[in-house]
Amino acid sequence: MPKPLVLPGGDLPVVMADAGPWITLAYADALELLLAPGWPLVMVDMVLEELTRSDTPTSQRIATWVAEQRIFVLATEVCRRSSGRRQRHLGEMAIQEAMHALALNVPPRRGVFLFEDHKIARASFLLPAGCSKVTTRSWLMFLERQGWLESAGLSCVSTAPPLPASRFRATRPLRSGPPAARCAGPR
Amino acid sequence: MASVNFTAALDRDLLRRAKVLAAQHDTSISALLSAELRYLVDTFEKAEQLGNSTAATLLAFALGRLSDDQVMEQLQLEHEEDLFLLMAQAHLPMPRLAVQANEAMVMELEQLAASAKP
Repeated sequence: MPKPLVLPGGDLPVVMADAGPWITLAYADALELLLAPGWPLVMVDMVLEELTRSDTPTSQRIATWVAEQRIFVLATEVCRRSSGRRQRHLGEMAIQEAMHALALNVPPRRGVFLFEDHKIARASFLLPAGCSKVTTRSWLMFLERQGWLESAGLSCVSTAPPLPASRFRATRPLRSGPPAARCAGPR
Repeated sequence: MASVNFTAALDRDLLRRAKVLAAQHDTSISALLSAELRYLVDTFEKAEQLGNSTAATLLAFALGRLSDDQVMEQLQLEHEEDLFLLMAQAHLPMPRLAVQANEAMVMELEQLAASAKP
């Protein structure tokens, strides 16, 4: 019998984002837009791992913000079993696991999952009932129409080039330890 | 240099925003378009001369002809953020879904908000 999923926010929809939206919003210094509707924001452990295991222009910003805002980090089996592997799509696999967990919860919990456009277009996701897959752009449009974001802000977040080219640098490993060591899943 | 008129189709909202931007910066849409197009063409020509296919690969991604997986493999990128930065550096937009697809998602979120007030 799977353990019931204990998430914050009562029966409100849960918001979870893939790495792309986190990166986009971090560059725009607008991570707080993930909290705008007042729905609980949950960070999937494998996504956090992918976002912070290398030293990138946004890794520290995201890690700090998640800690400061006390964002709930959801432990997944994917992260626990990844064993430090740098395999592609592990974050998406963990998100899929989170979707299933929401759908199987009693009572089922609604979930809003943010992805960048090119990942939404991918057909490999099984979307359980009660889970919505939306783009960062549609999330921002939604916030604008609800009056939580000025239209000028929408343009700024969704179209701004992230950083001057001179600040570009390839990512490099941030820590020497195995990434799986930071996954919080049951062992 | 002599200039010529030509006709092109643009997204209505993009044109509206371009007009606002042009007005704010006391310039014209033609000038904005020329500047970006010049950058794109110069970058591509230079890359081609150097036998560098990165620009072409990124453009194919922007146009939805290559997936992120394919681009990252071809350019040997490990991190998603590197692709994001390369696209910005090349002045290319990330690929986008159609306006209608985004509209449908907004409506879904609005319905959810109506039934789930914090």
